[in-house]
Amino acid sequence: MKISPPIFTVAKKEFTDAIRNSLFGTLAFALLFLVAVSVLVASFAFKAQVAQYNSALAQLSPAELQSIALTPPAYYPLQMLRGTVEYLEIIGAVMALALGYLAIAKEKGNNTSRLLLIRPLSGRALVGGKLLGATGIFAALIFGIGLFAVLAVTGIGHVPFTAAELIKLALGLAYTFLYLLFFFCFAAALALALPSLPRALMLAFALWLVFVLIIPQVGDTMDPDNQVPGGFFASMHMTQDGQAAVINQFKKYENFRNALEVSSVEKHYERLVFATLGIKAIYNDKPLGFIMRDKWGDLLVLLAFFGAGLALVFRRPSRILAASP
Amino acid sequence: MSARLSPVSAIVRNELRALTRERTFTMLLGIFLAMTFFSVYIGWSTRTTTNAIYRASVAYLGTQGATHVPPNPLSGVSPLLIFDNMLIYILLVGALLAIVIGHRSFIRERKAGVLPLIFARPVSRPQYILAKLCGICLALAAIIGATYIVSALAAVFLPALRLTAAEFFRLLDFYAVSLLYLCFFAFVGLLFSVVAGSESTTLFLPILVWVAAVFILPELTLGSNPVALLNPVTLASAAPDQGQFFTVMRAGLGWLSVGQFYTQSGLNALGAADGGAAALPALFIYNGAVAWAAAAALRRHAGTGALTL
Repeated sequence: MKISPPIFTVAKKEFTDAIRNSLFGTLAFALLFLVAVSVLVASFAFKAQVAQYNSALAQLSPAELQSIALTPPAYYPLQMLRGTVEYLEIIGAVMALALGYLAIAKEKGNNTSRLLLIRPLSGRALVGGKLLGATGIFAALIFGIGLFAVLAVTGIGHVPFTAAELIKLALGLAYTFLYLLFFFCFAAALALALPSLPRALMLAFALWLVFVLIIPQVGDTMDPDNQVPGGFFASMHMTQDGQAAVINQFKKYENFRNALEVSSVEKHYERLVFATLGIKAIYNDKPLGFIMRDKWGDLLVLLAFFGAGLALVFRRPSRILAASP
Repeated sequence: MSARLSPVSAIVRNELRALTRERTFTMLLGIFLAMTFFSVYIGWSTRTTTNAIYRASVAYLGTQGATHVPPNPLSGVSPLLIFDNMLIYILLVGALLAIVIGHRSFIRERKAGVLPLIFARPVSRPQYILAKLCGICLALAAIIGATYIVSALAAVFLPALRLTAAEFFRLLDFYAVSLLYLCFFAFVGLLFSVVAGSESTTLFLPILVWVAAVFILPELTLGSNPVALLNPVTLASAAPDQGQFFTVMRAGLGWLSVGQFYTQSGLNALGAADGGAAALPALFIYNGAVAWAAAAALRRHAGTGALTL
């Protein structure tokens, strides 16, 4: 009989536990549903945009048509994934937190952690096995979401993905994988470190709220250009140069606003993925080298958060698990 | 000797005492007051800076020889909008905290296994639920009341902000709508702590309801992306007509969108948007429906089953 190393046994159990867990099933289903909804909504919004363009075109006389240079709305499949990315950064993070918390809570809460540690299995191997299991879960989930998104976008928009777009999508999903694993490690580390499990869960959610929703929201609402529907500077009929000249006089305020935004891992993830997928207009249709030259800083921060998550979860897990009630 | 309390009053008092003893009340009060200070400061600082940016833009346009300078886009905007971030914080943070209050309210006694003992006393299940709901409402009303006082004081002391009596009343209206919204999520938290079998599910299911109300339904009915829904200015601007699909979705699902009912009523109270008249009765109806469902669930399931993790 072939006996697998303990770390793989733990990983396999973590994977099957998650699949059998109704809570994970509900969240995964909700996420897939949201992906479908966001792609559908983006496609309908695009169709409405095309219809508006056509109706505007129909109202122009032949002479006007010759004098005005009109650009019809272009369909970029990756841009249809804006909602998907936003759901992954908000709901995906909740799911990763829930899985990270449950991975530790089920051992601490059921008093099985001390029993497990009398086996030839160190605390680090136990946590490593759980992380490996989570890696499998997230890889399967992200692959499923990616495949689902490609099918939905191609099916609804009838525009196939090019090879370059598929590579960009794969890269965007890889960043998502790192982002989700960070939240998994973070919640697991809190469940390991705090004596009270409900308090660990509440703290994990509170920090998620602050860093994923509140801080980016504050940065966004402090943007002077966001104070008026359609944009403050657009309503002032100002050019890009004019905007830059005026904003330059308010550097302190802008630096504070930017500092708030960049303190959140979510904002770095969003900037990186929006650039890679071309959701941010200036990066649309640009080669990957160009995007990476601009966005390496965000990638570095995402990697640093991921590394910090790993360091936290592997910090003396044996002592903490053995001391659990 | 003190007069004997009715069972409902006794449970309400016990609920408030438990919230205070667990420090949940103090924690919530602290969070709400911190959110108020923060949101008022952010709102005021953004407004002041944007006005300064307008003056700088006018000067810049002058140097460029512009003959027509547009009026300040913020000149006609309601001064109450410096509180609009509070709408988002209550929509997100407030609702989650309310879920915790509702959840703790029932789970505390369910975990302790004292429910059979309570029902052995002369108290019916509907009376018990009614008392729990009253306790929750009173605790939330106290928190929202304190938040209103802090907001009103901030409005009095902040430079360059003068509110009229009518505007103070509108601010009160905004917080009253917020209280209704918070009560809805607290009741949802209570309902799931009665019906769900495991402790994790009792907390996660109401969070799923919240996700649906705040993110999913607005996307389906308005076509708004999730992050755009966190900006009060985007919320206040009229959604562009996105075609037949959204019209059908609005007709079919719009009545379920509790988050939108709250943002509509809240923005209306702050003077940022028109409409929202139907939203207030809808919030009342939803609160009543969830309260009734919690009472019915308790009568059917007894809600005294053991909890798993």
